[in-house]
Amino acid sequence: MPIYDVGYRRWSGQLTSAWSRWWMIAESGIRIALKSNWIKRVSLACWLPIIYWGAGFLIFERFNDPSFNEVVMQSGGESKSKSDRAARELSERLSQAQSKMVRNEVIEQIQRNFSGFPAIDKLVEGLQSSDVGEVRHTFWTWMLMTYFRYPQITALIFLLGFVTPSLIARDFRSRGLFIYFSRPIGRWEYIFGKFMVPASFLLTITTLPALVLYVLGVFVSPSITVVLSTWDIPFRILLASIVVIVPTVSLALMLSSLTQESRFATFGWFAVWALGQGAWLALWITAVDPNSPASQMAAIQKFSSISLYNVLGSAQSWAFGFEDFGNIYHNLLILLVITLVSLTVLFRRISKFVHI
Amino acid sequence: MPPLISLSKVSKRYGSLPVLREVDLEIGPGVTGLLGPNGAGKSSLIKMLMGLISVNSGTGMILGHPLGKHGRQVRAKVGYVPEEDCYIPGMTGIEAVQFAACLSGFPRIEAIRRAHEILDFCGTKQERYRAIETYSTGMRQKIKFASAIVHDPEFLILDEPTSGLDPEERELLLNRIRTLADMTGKSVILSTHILPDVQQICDQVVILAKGQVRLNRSFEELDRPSSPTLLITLLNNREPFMDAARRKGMEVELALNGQLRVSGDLETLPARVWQLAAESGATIQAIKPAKNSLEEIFIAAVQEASNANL
Repeated sequence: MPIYDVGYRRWSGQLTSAWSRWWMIAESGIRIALKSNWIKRVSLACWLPIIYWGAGFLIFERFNDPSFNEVVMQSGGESKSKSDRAARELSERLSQAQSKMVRNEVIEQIQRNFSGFPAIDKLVEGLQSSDVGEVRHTFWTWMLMTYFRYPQITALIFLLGFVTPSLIARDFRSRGLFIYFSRPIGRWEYIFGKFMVPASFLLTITTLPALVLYVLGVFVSPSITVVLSTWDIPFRILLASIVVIVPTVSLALMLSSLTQESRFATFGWFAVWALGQGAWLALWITAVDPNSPASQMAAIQKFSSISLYNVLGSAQSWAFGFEDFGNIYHNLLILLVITLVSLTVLFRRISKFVHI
Repeated sequence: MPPLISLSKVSKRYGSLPVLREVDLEIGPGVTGLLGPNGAGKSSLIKMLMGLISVNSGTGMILGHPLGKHGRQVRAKVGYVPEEDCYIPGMTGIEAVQFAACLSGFPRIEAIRRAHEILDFCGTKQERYRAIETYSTGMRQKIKFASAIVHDPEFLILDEPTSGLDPEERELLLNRIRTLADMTGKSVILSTHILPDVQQICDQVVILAKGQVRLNRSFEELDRPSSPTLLITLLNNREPFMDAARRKGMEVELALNGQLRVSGDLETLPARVWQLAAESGATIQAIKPAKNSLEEIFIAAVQEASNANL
């Protein structure tokens, strides 16, 4: 056989499993998305907040570090007669009292400065516990919840707005669907493959940094045994990620499938968030009594279902253990409906294209 | 050899609109031309063969699989070139072919190696590294063809594969199709409006009109006229030649391009033609056995369907 044979050659190798085809779709989608410098920049920028939250973990663990307390003890309650046992006990008591004072001061500061943040009461309650493990668990989960709630949802909105609108719209426009469906590929495999493109980006900018924060917390904590009291946090991170990723990606893909012009899908995507949040704010302002904090909270809860942002926030609070299921089940139901409707519409749109 | 595709009484409707009406069809190995006017049901037939749409009634077997079942297994054995200009934006030519191989189950490394090999076969050079959006229609057509054969399918369905190609590329593509059929034993359905393409490479022709198969014959049968006929090209004295032939009781008529069709007993006919030419003073430039015109057959089949008021 010649070294360079331009003729046709039969092929009889081993094919990969039929179950891996969706990954081929996802992988090619990720590679195409990463050709855009904007998407690369946004993805990198999404990691910046980790510095701020990481600093929070570091400060908290320094505060809980016994050697740190020792420094406090030495500076506050140092006895002149160190060999005297009674004096030493007195000194320890004094230092504990001082440490408690410092802690109360910190809690007060948190309460004052972060009063508008979700589940702040539960955080304060947890921090007042005498069990260090419980304090740590409460603080870490609250930090991670706020990490998901504020920077990462904002990052998610922008990143999905960049990545998803073109995913299916461009396949419609360029009739690329023929390429997929002339192969041994089913419609659900196609949808799952496309789903995994933005989902992979979101996992990279939400789940992965959150897990990094958790690992950082473990490393800067006094002992590796903190894992025993915080073992559920990685699972909560995964749950919170799923709760966020599944409905938002489904919705974004559905919008992408409704048009051949990806810019309309982009517009639709941002409109969903802007209109939801705008409507919620308008209703909140008209309903709230500025002199009554109780009415503010009631108004927030009453109209929160209008805004997808708030719905996701409630679901995340539940995932991190700051809300009871009974209080937020309607929000989970909304997310479930969004997911099911989006996937149904998506499936029907693709079926229609392939069949006619 | 059993047929690769056999359909019996297959019907398909979109709502109240029938697109296939009790289609009976057998397609064997070799290259089969699928002809039909617009709206004849060719695309629906192809999608049905690929397991992409279900049928309302009828039975059949496709590449050893029952009709309407095992769509994935059928598509794994089929290479399909859609009529539509389709591509995946953001990919280069080589990536597109590699991706097609991966979708068919090729491991990634093997897919890129195979993609290069197939693009070599298709005559694509360094342009394979360019973004597919920058390609001309003809280039995209080549990429579609390469993607269709990259996984070494046993059956090819080519929907207008030569549209958008220049004459040289068209000729090369038809040669490639014929090579694949002859050298590797692939069976091909060539759906096209370009009758010379069918005439050039097909072994069998199927004419579909108004959702029904109006004709399904091998070219060997089609080429043969109902009675032995010669096609004669004269340089001069055509009228005296025709008069002399008629006087001797021979059937003669003027065909396309000024040629004459003369019917009669094939054993004695050439000698009689030479004699007539000598008598009438005509100079013969060429004599060859007449074949039926595919164009005429196609028009007749379509008109027959229209007259049947389907």
